[in-house]
Amino acid sequence: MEIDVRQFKKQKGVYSVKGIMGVSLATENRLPGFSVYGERLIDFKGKEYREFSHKRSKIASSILMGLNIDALKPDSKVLYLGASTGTTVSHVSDIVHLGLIYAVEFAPRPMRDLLELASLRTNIVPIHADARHPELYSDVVDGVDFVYADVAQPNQSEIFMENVKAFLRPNGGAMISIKARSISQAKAPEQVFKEEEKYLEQKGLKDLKKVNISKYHKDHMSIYGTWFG
Amino acid sequence: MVLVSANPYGAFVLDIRGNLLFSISFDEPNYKSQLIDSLHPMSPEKVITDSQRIVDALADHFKVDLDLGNEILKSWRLSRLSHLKNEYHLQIDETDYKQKVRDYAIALSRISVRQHAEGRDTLIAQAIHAIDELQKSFTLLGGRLYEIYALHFPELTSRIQNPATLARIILKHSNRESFSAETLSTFGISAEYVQYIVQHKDESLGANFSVSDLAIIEALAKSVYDLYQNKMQLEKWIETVMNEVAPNLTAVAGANVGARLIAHVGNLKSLAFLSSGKVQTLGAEKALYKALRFKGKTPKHGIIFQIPEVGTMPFWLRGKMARAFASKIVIAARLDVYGGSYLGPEMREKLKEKANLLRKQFPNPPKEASKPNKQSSKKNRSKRRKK
Ligand SMILES: C[S@@+](CC[C@H](N)C(=O)[O-])C[C@H]1O[C@@H](n2cnc3c(N)ncnc32)[C@H](O)[C@@H]1O
Repeated sequence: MEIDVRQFKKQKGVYSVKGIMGVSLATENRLPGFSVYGERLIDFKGKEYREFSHKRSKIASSILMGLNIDALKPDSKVLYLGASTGTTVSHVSDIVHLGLIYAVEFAPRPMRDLLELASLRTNIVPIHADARHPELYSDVVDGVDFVYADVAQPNQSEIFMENVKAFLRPNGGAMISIKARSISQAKAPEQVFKEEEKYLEQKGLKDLKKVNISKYHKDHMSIYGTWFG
Repeated sequence: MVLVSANPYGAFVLDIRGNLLFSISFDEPNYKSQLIDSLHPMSPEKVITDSQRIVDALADHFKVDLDLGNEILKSWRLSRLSHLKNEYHLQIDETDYKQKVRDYAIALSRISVRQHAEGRDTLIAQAIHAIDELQKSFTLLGGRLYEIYALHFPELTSRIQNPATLARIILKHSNRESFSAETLSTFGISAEYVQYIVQHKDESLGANFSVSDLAIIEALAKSVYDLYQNKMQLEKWIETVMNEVAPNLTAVAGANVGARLIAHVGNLKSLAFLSSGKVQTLGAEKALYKALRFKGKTPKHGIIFQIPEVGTMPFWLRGKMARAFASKIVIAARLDVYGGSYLGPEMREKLKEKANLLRKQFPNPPKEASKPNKQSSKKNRSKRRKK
């Protein structure tokens, strides 16, 4: 079967690859020849793509499940909270190849991998800090177009909104991947999602779009909204 | 009142309308004292900043407020490059700016990662000692709790193994008359025992205790249970921190054994610089000195004996396995000290394979080898005494 690569719906910089292994998402490899974490590399019409697996990345699964992340464009500046070793960050780095991604992570161990990644990819700004304290990196981060949070903490929505308030430009977009079980073991995921959504609304995030990604990430939901300042 | 904004180019001092007064580069080795000296003549009653870096530099000398919501600071933050160009007359473009931001962030992150890896390992060592002390106290006080409560309800204490369980039961209901099958079964006690205990609650051989007697016992039970919980918390904490500080060592030796090795020598770095032969006998020093003094067999393993793949090996292979683990432990510790790649899980896998292979290759003890036992060392000792 022939391989076919084309832009995935309206999401600039994200591609769907039809080929031997069915359909999957991909981003254009801005560092050709290098696979970051063992993901498949795909050649198509003189360009190289890296498989952007919806099983490994919550952003990929959110996009695959139909969410259009308007704020994620080739020249966007992104603040990414909970970067870990940079699996998803590397793909965001592909997508915003004309922009910048500030990647915040507080555990030293994954941070080492992230520093390694940042030494190869010139649009990644690694920040070793606790996302609960934006004042720790307000000297580095400036106005961004998109804030994303994947910190899997009980008060993740609060951490997320603090950062939105501090760094997101008016009309910017913000997205959080909520892990129900890290917020409450006792409540049903649907209940947790509803409460978090209400909190985000109260804090001023508008036009919320929700996408349940539990199919690929157990008890997870992504919520995307717009910030008018 | 003055405002201080921070960015990769330095500290920028603004008046309350946002006009730039002056700036000092963070590249200046003594930027802190320069900043303080320049602010002093203005004797500001308050400094407002949005950056922890500025708080750290000034808090000892001025009243500093941290305020991320301040509109002027926020405007500097959200469109920094245009402010730097317009007010600071910086002649750079977007690409230069990004480069500067990145270099600045990478330098700070490197320092920070290094700082966090150092020091926390000595905390681990302390935590291990604390765990051992908690365990000791737990055993002692737990034993006391058994003895006291046996005076009241011996048919219960004889059926409960773990002091923590006993403590929890007593905290739920201290007077034996209030025991019920329903509550007892929530403590993971077998149905047979539950029945036995409930049957005896009204015809126990134990003495009747007054309410104030029971209150004292409850207080003791609380102490026992707190010790237990404390210990569990510490163990969990060690697991997390070990994975951060020494992920390779943790993968190879496990969090507990890894932490004990670190605790034994004081810190991760010292462990990484030991020979593998030394690592093999860490924690078996007593046995080693005895062996040297009395010309007995030298011990083959110390702390690393607690690794399942070593401890469960038949005795004639244990030494081999301990040696294999010790050499990988040293490599793993060095990787962790120097921030190398994450090879721990792979190494552990290989060691497991080796264990299986050895078992297949040498299913029986070699003829000349004899299990080291107390008798032989006693013999040695008496021989020496006679001399
Ligand atoms: C679920 S993982 C992120 C995975 C990553 N987003 C990806 O898709 O590749 C969550 C990460 O958030 C980090 N984290 C949790 N709390 C944090 C905090 N307060 N500040 C910074 N990082 C945090 C954790 O150390 C962990 O690496």
